[in-house]
Amino acid sequence: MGERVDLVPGTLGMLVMKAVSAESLHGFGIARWIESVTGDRLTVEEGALYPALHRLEKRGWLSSDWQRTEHGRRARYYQLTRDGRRELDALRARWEGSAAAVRQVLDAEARA
Amino acid sequence: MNLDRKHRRIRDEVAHHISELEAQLEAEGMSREQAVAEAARRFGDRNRIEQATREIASGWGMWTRRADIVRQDVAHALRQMLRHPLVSGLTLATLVVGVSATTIVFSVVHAVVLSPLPFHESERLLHVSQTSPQGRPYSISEPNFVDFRARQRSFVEMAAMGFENPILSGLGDAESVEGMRVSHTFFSLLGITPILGRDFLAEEDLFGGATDVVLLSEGAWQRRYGSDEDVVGSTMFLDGSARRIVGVVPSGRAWPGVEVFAPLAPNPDVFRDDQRLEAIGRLLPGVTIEQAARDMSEIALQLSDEYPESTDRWGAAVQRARDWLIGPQLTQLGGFLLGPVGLFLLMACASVSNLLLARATVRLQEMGVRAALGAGRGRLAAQLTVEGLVLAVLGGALSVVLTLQGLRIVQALGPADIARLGEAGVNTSVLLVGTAAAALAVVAAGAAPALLMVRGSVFSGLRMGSGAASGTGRRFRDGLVVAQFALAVTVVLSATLLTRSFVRLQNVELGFEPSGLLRFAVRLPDDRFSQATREDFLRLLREDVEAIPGVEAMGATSAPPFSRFGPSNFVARSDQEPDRQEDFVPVSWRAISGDYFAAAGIPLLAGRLFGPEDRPAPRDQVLNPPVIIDRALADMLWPGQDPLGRLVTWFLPGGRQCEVIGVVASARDEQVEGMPRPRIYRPFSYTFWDQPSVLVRTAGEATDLIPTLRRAVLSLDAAVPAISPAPVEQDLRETIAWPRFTMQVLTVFGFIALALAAMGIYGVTAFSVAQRRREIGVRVALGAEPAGVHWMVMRGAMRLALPGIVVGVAVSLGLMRFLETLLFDISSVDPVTYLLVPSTLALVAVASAWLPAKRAVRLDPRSALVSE
Repeated sequence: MGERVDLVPGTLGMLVMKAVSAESLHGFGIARWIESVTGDRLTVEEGALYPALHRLEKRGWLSSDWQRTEHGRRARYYQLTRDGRRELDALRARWEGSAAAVRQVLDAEARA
Repeated sequence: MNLDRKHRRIRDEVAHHISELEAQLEAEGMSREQAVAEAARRFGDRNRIEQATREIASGWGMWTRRADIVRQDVAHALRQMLRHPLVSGLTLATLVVGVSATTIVFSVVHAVVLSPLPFHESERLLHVSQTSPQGRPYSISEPNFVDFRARQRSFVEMAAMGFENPILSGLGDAESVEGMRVSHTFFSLLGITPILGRDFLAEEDLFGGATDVVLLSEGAWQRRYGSDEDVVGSTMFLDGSARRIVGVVPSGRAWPGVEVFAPLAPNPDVFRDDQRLEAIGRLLPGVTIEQAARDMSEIALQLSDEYPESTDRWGAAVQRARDWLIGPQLTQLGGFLLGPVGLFLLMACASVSNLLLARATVRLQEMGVRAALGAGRGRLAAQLTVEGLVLAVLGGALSVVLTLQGLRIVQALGPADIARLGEAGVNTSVLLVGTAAAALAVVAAGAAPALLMVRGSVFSGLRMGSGAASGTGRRFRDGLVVAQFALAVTVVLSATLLTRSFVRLQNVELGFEPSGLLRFAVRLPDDRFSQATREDFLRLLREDVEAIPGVEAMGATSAPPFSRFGPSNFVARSDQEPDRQEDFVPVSWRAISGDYFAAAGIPLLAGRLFGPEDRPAPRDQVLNPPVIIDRALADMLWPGQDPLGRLVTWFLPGGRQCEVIGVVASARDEQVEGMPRPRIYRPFSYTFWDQPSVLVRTAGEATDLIPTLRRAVLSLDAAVPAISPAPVEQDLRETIAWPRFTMQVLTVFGFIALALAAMGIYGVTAFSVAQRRREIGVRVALGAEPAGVHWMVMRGAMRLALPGIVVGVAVSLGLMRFLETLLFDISSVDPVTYLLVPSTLALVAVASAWLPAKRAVRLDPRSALVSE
């Protein structure tokens, strides 16, 4: 388990969309998934998660429906729409572009 | 209901999340109670999260939050305005005046000049005129129009029109109505289709054909026939002959007063130099105006070759129909008004900007505090924007009210011959311009202060305190005041020149007496009157009219004072008769009868007037018919000699030698401006004229006699009504309506410009006094003389006003030549005006700065020093 890190502002939407890109998940499942793939370094605030889910759904990037969990509970499951997939690709490209640029700067030989 | 479902969904989602969390914590080994408590702690404020989610789901949250901020800002802006009522009032007034002036002028220019003519594809319509060998445009004669139309290759079609006033009888008393003779192609060319019945047919437009038909205008149809649809096919009497009504046309927007249209049926055999028709044509697709002009000139050249006796070296010219209909005066006025009004809006912007800036500089401190307390720049900028918008909305609303009132006044004062002035109103495009003007004013005016505040100077504002204003801000404000004074000088100078010119125009010696003079016309058509019976009619009419109490004299003339129609001819001394027409003297002429000179009030200077002895006996060829000439012509032909008994050759018709029997004073009865054209008078008996005008000299209130006169004329011959009787003074007023209107408009502009300049310098001075409270307080505490303090403040104001005035005078000197054509008998660099106006402006500056200076003197040093 590595050191805990803060969520980079503005990336929650992208992470949530990534979380539901393969299979549909409920809110708790999304938070758990993000925590588990980052080895618990990244936690998702519930206070931010639900507003984010509703915002993404309102924009048409997520859709949702009620399903039964494996424990037989009723839960709201979210999945990525086609628009959402396109948006996720775009966000990802932008993120990787800027991350690469930042890295280039940091790796560059500093000149006197 | 939908909302309820959303609420429930969110609650269920959150509940599920918490129960999953509890389950996970239990699985990690917590007891049920511990897990519930820990989950609740980790999850946080459940209600708040649900609320936040709901707001996003419903989309309301953002808006209610923003609306809340806006409401706060609006309230803040209103409080700010109320806290400084004088400054706010000035700002608002300036804005409203500037925007209203712009909107009024634009709506007038829009309706009158800019909006398209009420015809189909009116930009393809051309007006065709004949041009004299000297290049002056004239109307077209009937035979020439027939030839132009037959030979042209540039137009889809051509049409001609002539204005006339036929006598309408058979519907109550006989009366004269406005009418037009038009080609059968006229309405289809313009894209006007009858709303009832049919258009003229080609065979009805042939000379000698079935021309006894008439079209009614929609207005006449409503007014005279109560919109009766059965009117088509019925008969009306025009000039005594029966005409069948074949249709009704919606012609009101193009020719509002015209009631009846008759077929033109051009006579190919009348004189080719009897030019009475206006011709128009619609360009063929792909043909340019230049090509059409060449086409017309070529035809004119052919006609000049074919008919050298009447059209020798006459040419042709074309212009856009709109230029012909709207006329150069209106187009000139349009530019003339839009120019200053643009400057005007700029001035208003400058004033508003100035007042906002002044306030902004004071408020730097407030902004600084707010920034220090954590308000972002965006937030401060938003607040300033809201303040600007509040100003714009208030100003806009008041401007609409003022614009509507102002338009009504303009329409009441404007010259009657501005065709579409009545149509000026607040329509969409006018509102757009008004709104744009208001928005532009506020944005332009608000930008400077907003920049000043937001551009990093917030904190320096806090440090400096209100006592020290930013130097850029002050220079900018000062520049605005200088510019305002420059503009005010220019506008007031123009207004003063026009006013002085108009006063001279009004007091000009006319050479005749328009007050108490009435005029009307009588139609004495060929089919009922011979030249002899016309004379008899006028003689009997004179007896009847001069018997009316209050009437002093009556005379008849071929053209009344200030009529648009001023007949011209050429004369020369018979003993020095030149070979070519160009070397004759161009004159204005009148055929007169009765006591014309007494009625008009033109004094006889030498010789005698026409008498019964001048009446030619039937079939008697008088060798040298008598003529009377005016002073100007006498001085021109026989300078320093006695013209009485001398012979003058009258070029047309036939070059007769006439004997001068009298000399009368020159009368400015064609136009008031300029020198009157030399005039020659002949007795009515020698001239063929079917519509003489009658002048009646009255002792008292001329207008009161009009009903009596109408009855007197009708009782002499029931088919001969008095055509449009009116006082000549009214004609005089209309002749100078344009100069008056231009003067009035510029005078109003001048006052507004003065007020704006005064407000500007007042604002800046008052503000600088407020800013320098501490400095002034120190001076007063150290024993400065009140007079010294007063002088110091005044000097500050004068330092701005005087350069402004100087710049304004310099700019005016450059611009005034554009005004020259509008000035009468006064130089555009009239020294009196150039002394008067700058001194007045200087006085205004002194007066405006006086109050703040007074306040500075009365400043209590203690309160000034502790105020910070």
